[in-house]
Amino acid sequence: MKYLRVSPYALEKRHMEERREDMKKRITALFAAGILVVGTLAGCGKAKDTDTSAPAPAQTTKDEQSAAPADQKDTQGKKIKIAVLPKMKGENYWDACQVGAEDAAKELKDAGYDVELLYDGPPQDQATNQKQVDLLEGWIAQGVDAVAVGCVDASAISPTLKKAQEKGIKIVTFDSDSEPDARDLFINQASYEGVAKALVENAAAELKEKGYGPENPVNIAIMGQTKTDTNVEAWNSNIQELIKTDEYNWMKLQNPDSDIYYPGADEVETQTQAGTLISRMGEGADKIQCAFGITSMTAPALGSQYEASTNKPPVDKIVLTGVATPNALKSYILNEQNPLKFGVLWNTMDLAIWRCRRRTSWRQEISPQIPRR
Amino acid sequence: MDNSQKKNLKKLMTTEFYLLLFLILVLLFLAVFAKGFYDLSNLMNLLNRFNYVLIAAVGMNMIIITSNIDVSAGALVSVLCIIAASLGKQGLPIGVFLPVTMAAGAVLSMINGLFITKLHIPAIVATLATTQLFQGVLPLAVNGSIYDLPATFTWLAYDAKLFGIFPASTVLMLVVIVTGLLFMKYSKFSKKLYAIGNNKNGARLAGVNVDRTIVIAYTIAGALYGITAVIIGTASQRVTTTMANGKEMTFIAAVVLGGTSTAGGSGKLIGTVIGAFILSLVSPAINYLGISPDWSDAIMGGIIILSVVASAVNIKKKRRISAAPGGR
Repeated sequence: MKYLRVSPYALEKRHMEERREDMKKRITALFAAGILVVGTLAGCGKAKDTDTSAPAPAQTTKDEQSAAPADQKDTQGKKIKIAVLPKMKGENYWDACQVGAEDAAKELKDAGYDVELLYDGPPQDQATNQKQVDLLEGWIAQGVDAVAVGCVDASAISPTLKKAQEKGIKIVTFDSDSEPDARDLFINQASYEGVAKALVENAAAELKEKGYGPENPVNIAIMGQTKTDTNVEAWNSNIQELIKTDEYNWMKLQNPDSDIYYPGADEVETQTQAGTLISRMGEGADKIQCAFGITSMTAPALGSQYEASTNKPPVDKIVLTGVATPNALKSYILNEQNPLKFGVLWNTMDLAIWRCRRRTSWRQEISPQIPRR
Repeated sequence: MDNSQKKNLKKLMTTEFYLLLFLILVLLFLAVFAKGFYDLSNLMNLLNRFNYVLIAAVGMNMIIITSNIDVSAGALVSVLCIIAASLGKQGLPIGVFLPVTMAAGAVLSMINGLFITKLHIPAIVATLATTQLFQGVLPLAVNGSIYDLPATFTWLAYDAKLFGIFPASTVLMLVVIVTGLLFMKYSKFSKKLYAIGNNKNGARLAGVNVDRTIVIAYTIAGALYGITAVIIGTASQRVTTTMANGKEMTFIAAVVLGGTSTAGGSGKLIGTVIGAFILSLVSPAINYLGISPDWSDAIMGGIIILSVVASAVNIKKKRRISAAPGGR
């Protein structure tokens, strides 16, 4: 799996194009895998069958293999309602997901499908399971055809998802999974190990450049968000596993109680705790030399709190990094006086496009001409 | 010990005095057990948090003294953050968006005051309603957040440092707190606030324009929320619609911890200052002590309960003394 290593060089066009090519290949491979799954899904799925007046089983299988026109016939005159439920609204990463979903919906419309996209989620500080359930209940009552969810709490949301499935609604989870039996498909944008590896590997390389290594060990800190985030916590535990291996065991997590931060979904609290973490950074065994902000809120918070800090820890002695959109990190990365020099991410907008198209034309998806922004 | 000395000692044994004692003990404890807590960068980080909590708490203190309350403060500050950010996004400097945000805060908070006085709605109900209103309007106006804010917006947090050390929000805090302390001590207006809190009808009979005083208190508080909003908002390049939701409890807690009774009519601003400082201390202190942050809220709650119980006991004692025959 390929990750975006957002660096000043990566902002150059040439690299961008190279990366796009890579991304295309990767997405294509993902689609191929996805089709297998969906093939099985469609075989036993009823939602689509009831959508259409055409004889179901033959038609559905045909959908997947034949060209778009067959598909068009299939869904003609019937509005497909696809609901997308992010963990939270109005935040860089999720906004990118929204853009992707809207693009995909528009494309489908251009292709002659009658698609309605519903996009709603909890506000940032209320990114709770209850808010997600409330929205889901509303959509179940409305009778949508498919829901794509980025789950705040895997186990708590599953009963509602199962209820939706019973009504024939297709459930796809993305970004952060539910319990496996409560959804039809989980789109894992990046493997948990992969994200952790990309973070640790690149951070280790930078730390070595700054004179650390097996002879000169470092202390690390991790900023998650809440303890129920499936994906974030998976990255978190994978990072902790990785730094136990021989290759990275010079990166130490001294005290999980104080060196792993859970500021919650509150922006101000995130900033405050990031500020506390920055003030604990610097040279020396009782300080922290490397901080991972592993959510799209905490990574930029580290960058911004470094800028705001008085008595900044020296830029050539510490490393800041995290998981976030390039947009959220670019000003820190471009500032030479800021130790935040790279971030890790998959391509959010492609994720959204891929997700939204699942139920319809597969032919189009695997074609290499995926329009990009 | 003669009588006057005893009196002086009694005068000293106020809630504020005990609080200060508690604060000093905590600071000593941290000096011993929390290594690196007194690093300049941590102190300045703490100071910044203290600044915005205190500025809003000064406003909240005035409201609570009149035996009213404002639970919409958090939501209102969120609205003001968005107002500041939308101006900042246009590249306007702080010289423009700070006064505008303060004015907007004053107007919106005045609405609270008008609801309470003109429509005779209890303060908690009125401000709960406006909380919903503020929270409800924001998502209609802004989709979650305003981001990619320019350097002119984050100037206050990133670049503006007093003597190259203190966050510039300290200047705002000092201006507010010095004015506030003088104002609460010497102005006629502050006497009216206490009078209303003690006995609303009594104040009215004594010729105080109760309604107008309350509306003005809310308006001033609103302007102060505007300053808090600018400090909170400029801390990063992104301002969300829920920036300060829930922060009203911190503001109220700072006031209550500082010895101001929610029943109104009593409490000093200096207590609020200490209260705000203690509350700003808890979260970083816990982190430096190496304890899990899960304790932070519990410890804060414990401190507030302790303080409320202590002041309740104090009041009871005073009443007993004054009720006793021959008592003062």
